[in-house]
Amino acid sequence: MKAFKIFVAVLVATFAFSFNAQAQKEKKGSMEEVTFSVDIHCESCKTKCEANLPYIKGVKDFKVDMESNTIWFKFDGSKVTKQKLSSELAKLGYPGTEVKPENAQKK
Amino acid sequence: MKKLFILFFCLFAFSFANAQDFKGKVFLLNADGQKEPAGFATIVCIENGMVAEADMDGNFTFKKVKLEKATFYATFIGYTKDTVVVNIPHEYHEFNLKDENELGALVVTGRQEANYLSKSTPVRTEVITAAGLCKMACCNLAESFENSASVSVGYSDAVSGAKQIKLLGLSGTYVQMLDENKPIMRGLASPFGLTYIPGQWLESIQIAKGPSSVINGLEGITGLINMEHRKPTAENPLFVNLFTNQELKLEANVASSLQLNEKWSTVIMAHASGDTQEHDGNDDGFKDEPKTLQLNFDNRWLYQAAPGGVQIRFGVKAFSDKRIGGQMGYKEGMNDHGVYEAYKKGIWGSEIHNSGIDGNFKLGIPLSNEGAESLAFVATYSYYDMNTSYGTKYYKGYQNMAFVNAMYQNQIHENHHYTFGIAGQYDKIGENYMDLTLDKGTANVTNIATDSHLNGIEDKMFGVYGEYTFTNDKFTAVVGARGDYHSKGGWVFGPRANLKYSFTDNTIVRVTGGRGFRHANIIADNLGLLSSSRDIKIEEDINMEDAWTFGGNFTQYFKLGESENSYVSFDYFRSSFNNQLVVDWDKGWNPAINGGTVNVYNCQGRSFTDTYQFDLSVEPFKRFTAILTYRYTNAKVEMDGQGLVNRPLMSKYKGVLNIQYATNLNKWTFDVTAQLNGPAPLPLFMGGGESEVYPMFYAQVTKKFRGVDVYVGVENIGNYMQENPIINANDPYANDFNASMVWGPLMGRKFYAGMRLTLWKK
Repeated sequence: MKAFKIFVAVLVATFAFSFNAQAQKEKKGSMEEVTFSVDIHCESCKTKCEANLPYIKGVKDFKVDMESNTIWFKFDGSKVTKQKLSSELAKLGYPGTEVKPENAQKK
Repeated sequence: MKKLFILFFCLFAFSFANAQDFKGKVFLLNADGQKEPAGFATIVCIENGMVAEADMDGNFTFKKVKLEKATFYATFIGYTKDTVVVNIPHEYHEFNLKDENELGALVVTGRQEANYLSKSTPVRTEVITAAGLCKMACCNLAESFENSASVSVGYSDAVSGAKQIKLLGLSGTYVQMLDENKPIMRGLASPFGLTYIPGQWLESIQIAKGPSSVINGLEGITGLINMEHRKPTAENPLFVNLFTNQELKLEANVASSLQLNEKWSTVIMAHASGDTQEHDGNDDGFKDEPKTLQLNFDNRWLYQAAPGGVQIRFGVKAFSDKRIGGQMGYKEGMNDHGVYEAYKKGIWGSEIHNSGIDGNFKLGIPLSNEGAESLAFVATYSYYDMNTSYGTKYYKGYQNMAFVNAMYQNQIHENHHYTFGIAGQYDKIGENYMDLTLDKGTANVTNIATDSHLNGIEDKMFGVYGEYTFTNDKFTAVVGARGDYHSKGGWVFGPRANLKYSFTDNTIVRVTGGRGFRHANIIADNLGLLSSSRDIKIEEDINMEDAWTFGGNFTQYFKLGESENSYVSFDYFRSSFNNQLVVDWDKGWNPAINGGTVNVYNCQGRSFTDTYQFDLSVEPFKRFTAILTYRYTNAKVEMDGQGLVNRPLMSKYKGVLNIQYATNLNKWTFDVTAQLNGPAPLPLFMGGGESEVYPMFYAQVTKKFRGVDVYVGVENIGNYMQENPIINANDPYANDFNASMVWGPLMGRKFYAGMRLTLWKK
């Protein structure tokens, strides 16, 4: 029973902490979105992007999709520009072009 | 003179650098014909991957381009690329980027799941990905299954630290272990094999239940576990992992994947670990885990002639491991022959020295452009050396194993594929077993007991096989048969079939069945035999083990909350033996002398296991995943004099709940796992009945920085330990001493911390 109590305590602490961390991140700001078409063809390329893209200042969220060869970003426009994101992608070895939102087709 | 030299050097360096600079300016050409500087445009050199960023006026400079000829292109969002090939030195270039309108479909996917059931494979396959391997300390392969109910992991005995897995209610010896589809951990290499695969070397693990394919042999009876290691083509020139826990277990892993040119690449992996301190958490006088020092090295090469062309892979790996276990006072060397210092002092100890080397080669030749027709050839050789002592029992063994497999694949039609192959295997195991009786006063050897059945084995195998695969949108069938001739055992024949039907993309049913055979290795399969005072009595020649396994699986994927790949799955499998080696702790038990014998024989009657499993995986809200699995096993075996009984020390059920929450961009990851381990039947000499039901809790927090992950965690939060895992620990040279009746954890609560550093190729 003692074990169970410790476990519950750890569980509660974990989630309290994580939601708190999450809450701090959700600040209002100039949120923008952009999708790049990139030549991303392997699982390891995806892993590489996922390991590096979170650390570009201003990036709030992103998704790498190998099926459509795209990377979608949500970012704080006051901290980073589309061009900077494009240049960071190029530095990783994945230069891309923007997919204009009006042309993007959602499956 | 010195100043002059420095000046000269600087001048030289400057001129050298300057001569190789490449400068230019990027312009945007708008639709209306206007030209304007492209501030902050990106310029890339294709040959060396260098990237420059233009200033606000579109000017850029590449410094020290160490190429004679280079291809550069400039990009800017919303504009087409402009590419140029220049000879270096090249003074200046102007890029002009035109306006563009590009179409693109947008589909977004989630992050990598940690454990999932594969949709595509005909066999029910559970995949533990790199993300899954990072959920826990996962020092080695044996520790990588804590989140899986399919596989249970336990200690072989309470002294050696060797861990054993169980799948479908049977020992891990019935699971075929593959390293990138090459058989490994056979014979003597099996009892410690799981410990010799560092978890941080792995990219993923696939656990396939049921008899699977015939291509790699018939030795897999309950299933197959394949490990994919870090790849030579991975863009990680350096990976470093460091780990420690509160008991100062230290571990370091280093890996480096290098692409030397377009054709050659290699990965080098190294591991060192050690349990530096002795601990006796339960105060029974015995070290909870042995003091260890383990070193592993692995180097793999890949040669790829062209994409889709001839591929050669080869590699070599080696390891050495030392384990000093037993009572707290036992020190290395005290069991040495002729000295018997431990016995003289009345201290019981165990020493294990293992080392091995392995070379492997794989060749793939595509014969048609579409890749349907191909030839493949695999060859492996391994040498393994094992030198152990457990009190007054000494066991030495070595083995030479060679394996070759050649196969031809082709298709009759897009939907009909077939594979034919021939294979050969050479196994030579040398063994030397001695159970010494020593004189109490002088420690002189008064008797040496041994057994002619423990003199090793030499087996040459030749096999032929064929496998046919039918696939269409809904249905997949893989049907194969294999005949193997063993110089020891004669012909064995094994048919196998795996069928999969998808009612929809999300509703999948699988049925599997097949036969497997293997040579049992009495000591290697039952290492616990050595850590007891009982005499080992091998009643007869042990025949090849032979079993059929049948099973089915139903998986329903559904959308819930954030994930379209939430699933619920049910499995049922039955393994039924025609012949099995039985280790019987009750038959020869003699309470009058508090000991007797442990008997080994061929099962005369029935032996079977039924396993039922339920899995549920959901992501109810963003980045929050929960996996719940529950397994129930009914394992029966007919023992001499007892009839059909529940298989001793096989836990009846296991439930696992794993919850993971990651913050935005996965910068923080929180994992908690709860296990409920069911009771295991105990042998009659222990009073029969069942062991306790016990829970286990684990938690880990991971913080990711760019290139660095830091993690801290706790194992066995509830601090649950098996009480008195060693029978008569107070008097280890007495006849009823027994350290092999382990069903629960030997180690209590443990805090650990580690870091992973990953460099990415630029």
